[in-house]
Amino acid sequence: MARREPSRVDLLQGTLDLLILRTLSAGPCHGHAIGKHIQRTSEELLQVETGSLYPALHRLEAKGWISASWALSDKGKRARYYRLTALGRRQLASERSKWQAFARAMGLILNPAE
Amino acid sequence: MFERSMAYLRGLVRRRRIRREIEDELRFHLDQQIDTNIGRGMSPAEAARQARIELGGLDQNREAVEDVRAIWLDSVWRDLQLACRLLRKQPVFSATVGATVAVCLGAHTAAFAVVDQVLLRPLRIAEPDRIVVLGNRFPKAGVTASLNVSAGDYIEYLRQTDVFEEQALFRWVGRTTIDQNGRATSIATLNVTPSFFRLARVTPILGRTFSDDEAEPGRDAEAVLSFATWQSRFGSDPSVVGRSLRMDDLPYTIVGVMPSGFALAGDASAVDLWTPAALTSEQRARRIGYNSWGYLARLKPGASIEKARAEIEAINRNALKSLPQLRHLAEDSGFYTAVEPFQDALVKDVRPALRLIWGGTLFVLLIGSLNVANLTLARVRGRTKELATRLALGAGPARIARQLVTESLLLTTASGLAALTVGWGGLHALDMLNLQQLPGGDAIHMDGRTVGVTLLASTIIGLGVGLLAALGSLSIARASGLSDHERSTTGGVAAGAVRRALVVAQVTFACVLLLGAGLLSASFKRVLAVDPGFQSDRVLTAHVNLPASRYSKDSLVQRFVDDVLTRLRGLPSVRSAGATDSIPLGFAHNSVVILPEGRQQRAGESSVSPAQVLVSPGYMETMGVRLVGGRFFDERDVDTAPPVVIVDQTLGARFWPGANPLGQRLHLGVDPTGRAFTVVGVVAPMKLEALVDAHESVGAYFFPTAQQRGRSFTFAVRTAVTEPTTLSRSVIDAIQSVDHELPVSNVYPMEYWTAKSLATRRATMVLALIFGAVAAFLAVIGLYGVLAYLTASRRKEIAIRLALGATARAAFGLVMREGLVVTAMGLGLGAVGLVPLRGVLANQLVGVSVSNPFVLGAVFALLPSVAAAACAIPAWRASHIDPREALSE
Repeated sequence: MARREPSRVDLLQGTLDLLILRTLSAGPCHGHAIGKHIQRTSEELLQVETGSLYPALHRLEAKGWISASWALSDKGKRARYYRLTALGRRQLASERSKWQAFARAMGLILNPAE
Repeated sequence: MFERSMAYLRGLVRRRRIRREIEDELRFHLDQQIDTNIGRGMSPAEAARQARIELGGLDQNREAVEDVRAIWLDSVWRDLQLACRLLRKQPVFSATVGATVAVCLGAHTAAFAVVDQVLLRPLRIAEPDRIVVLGNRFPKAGVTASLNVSAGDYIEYLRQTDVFEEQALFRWVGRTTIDQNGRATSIATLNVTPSFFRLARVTPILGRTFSDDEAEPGRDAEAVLSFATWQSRFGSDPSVVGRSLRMDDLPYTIVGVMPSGFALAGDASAVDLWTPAALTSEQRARRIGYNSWGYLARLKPGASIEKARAEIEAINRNALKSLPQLRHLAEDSGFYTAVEPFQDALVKDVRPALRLIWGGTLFVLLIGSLNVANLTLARVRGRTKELATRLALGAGPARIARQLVTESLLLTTASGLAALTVGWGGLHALDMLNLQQLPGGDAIHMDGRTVGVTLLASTIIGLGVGLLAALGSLSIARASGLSDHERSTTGGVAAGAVRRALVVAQVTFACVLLLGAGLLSASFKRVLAVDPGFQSDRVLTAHVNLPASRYSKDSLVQRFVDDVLTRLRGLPSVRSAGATDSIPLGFAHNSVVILPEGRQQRAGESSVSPAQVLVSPGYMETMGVRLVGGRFFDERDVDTAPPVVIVDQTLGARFWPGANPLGQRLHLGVDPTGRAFTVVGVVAPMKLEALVDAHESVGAYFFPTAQQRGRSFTFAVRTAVTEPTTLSRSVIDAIQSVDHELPVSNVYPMEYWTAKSLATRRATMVLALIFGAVAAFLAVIGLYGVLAYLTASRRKEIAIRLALGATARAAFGLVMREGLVVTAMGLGLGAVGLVPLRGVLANQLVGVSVSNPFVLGAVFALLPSVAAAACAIPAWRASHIDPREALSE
């Protein structure tokens, strides 16, 4: 694995999948745009490595959570567009609640005063 | 599973397309990034450079994605690689398992090839199951298995039966021809009715077969060649049809050539050619009592064999009403005509032996598989740390199970391929069973079915063993800890019980096999000890067939026999010589009726005596037959002298119970006014058909060659040398110096005939002994393996016991007890196996009962002592554990 820049937050293992699913819940998107969206929405805190993004996309496709098709991008080039499947949507919901529970637990421990 | 396999296959096909797609996708990403970078105000060159840095290499990215896409392919491949690596790392284990499976499976492969092709598919012609064979039987006269009928029966059945589509007669005829080198050679001819080929539904590759009008005397000088004869004698000449072939000084026209491997009756390698059977009116009239023809019939579609039996029985019953003399004879001897499926009849003699051998290989295969399962289970336990590590690193139990099954499949499939080689070799080794003489036996080979069954078996073994190992690994998954402590006491109990059960099964099967082998050898020993009634050492035999064309008169035949005997007796190293028409253990005999003079025939008592033998003066002396009373034949007994006969004690006791047979008189045939033969000698019974009688002998009687007609003779020569074959050449020369056109065949020592009649019995016994030894060896290895493992895994426990004051003897006993309990259970179950064994071996055993104390004693002493020796090694190890060392580990 390549070293990451210290100014950015490393992605926790398994969270990239969740982020991709969440991004796609807004509508079909190609790989580059997904990466950009995650970066932008996280206020540049999360940087998605291309080397992780595409294997993750194909893995999710193999699991049947997202599907892919070739279409013309807004600039008129052939791009591979991913969309959420029904299975993926369910997965997103369950992963999301799991993550929220996890985040709450972490919060409770790290901020006991709350 | 199925969907994933399909995805895998699709993945293989679409690999290149997927690669292109991934490249396209990444290139699009690069373009987008360049655009973004330009949007941020970079120069196009800088934008492209930054984008490439960010992407970090197109190829690496593509490979990373490809890995994901090819996940299934990849993991199978990785499993295989891992399996190969592991198997290489444990060469002893791999070699042991591989060799066990290869040898056990290979033995089964060879046996299966024979069983499949001989027992299940002996006839390679259309719808063989509709062909039946007929035989006139006289059970009360000892004729219980004959497959011969009279020519007149055929004529009657042709006219009156309704169940048959086609019927045919056949009979062996020995003919002689002169080959290219001017040497006389014999030609094995099958005389057949023209319907024979129609019944077989096999068409010639050249020319034609016989037409119905060629079965008339005078029009029958035609021949259809076998493929082998066409090749060897006529150089595969395509224009052979129409050529002439001289046999017994008569010209025959060749009308056709049959395809390779065709025989139907007799084995394919034995028939040189076929000639039409032209039945004389005399032959056509002979019913029931003149049984020298083979009879085949093809049932009409849908007709049952029971219906055929009923029809024939009715026809015979009717016919006998008008033949009072024959009816007496038929009723007295329990006459009936047997109708049997031809394929069954063909393999009847070899079926028990082949089944036994096949069963033996199945048992060995079973024991071998159990051993492999045991070894693999032990190895899984030995790999606890490795597997636990992989579990901890995220491999699921299913993933581990798949890995184990892959490993085991890889090993057994490779062994399966090796087994094919072993089986091929085994087929050659089975030649000692005289396979070529079996129906279809000349063509036994490793065909698709045999290869398929072998590979299937290796897959099943691989799957079974792998799944068992996977089950074993489950207990590890449950206990899943990296420490290798005494967790085995929980997870190990189940696995230990399974392994113990496997060893019990092994001991059981080994015990049954050894019992079977022991019984067969005890029986074989009995057979060897049977007194054949003659002495076969130092005797050489040689066979001739006198052609009717040159030996039309009895006087010519007699002069030939006398001349040959004179010359043979003049040879150096020859003590005596004689001639007979049927050498013991070599040929079949006639079914002829004889009646003692003046005897009141009692109802239900048979007068058929199947064993009529012609012997020359000097023959009985040569064969070492024991004279009980009277004299042997000598120069007095010429054709003009008073007719004489020698009987054996069995026949004497049957015809003149309590009286001296010497001087009594016999009639040949049912006519009491015919020629009477005076009994001049009584001899001890000889074993004529086999050392072991298939049925109780009803007695044999002997006529002098000078007083009865014969054309087929075997000369027997008692030599002064221990190796009688050294005289073969001079014996042949002596015979051919009398008739140089006469081929001499079957020049063998008498011991050859004895050995040949025992070949199947001997082979079965030898193979059973080999199987038994292999099985016992495998079982003992399995026992040792289990105990060694148990001792190793209970090392600490035993150390604690020793530390707490247990003696070394107690530790020794602890392990020994474990092993002996398992052995005892196996032996107990093995003893139960005697019950089915009795059924299987019943018709193979001679003079030995299934509960033979010597065999039982030997097996039940041998197996436990070998097992005890195997147990003693780990037990000794256990008693020598140093508690301090073991507990500080």
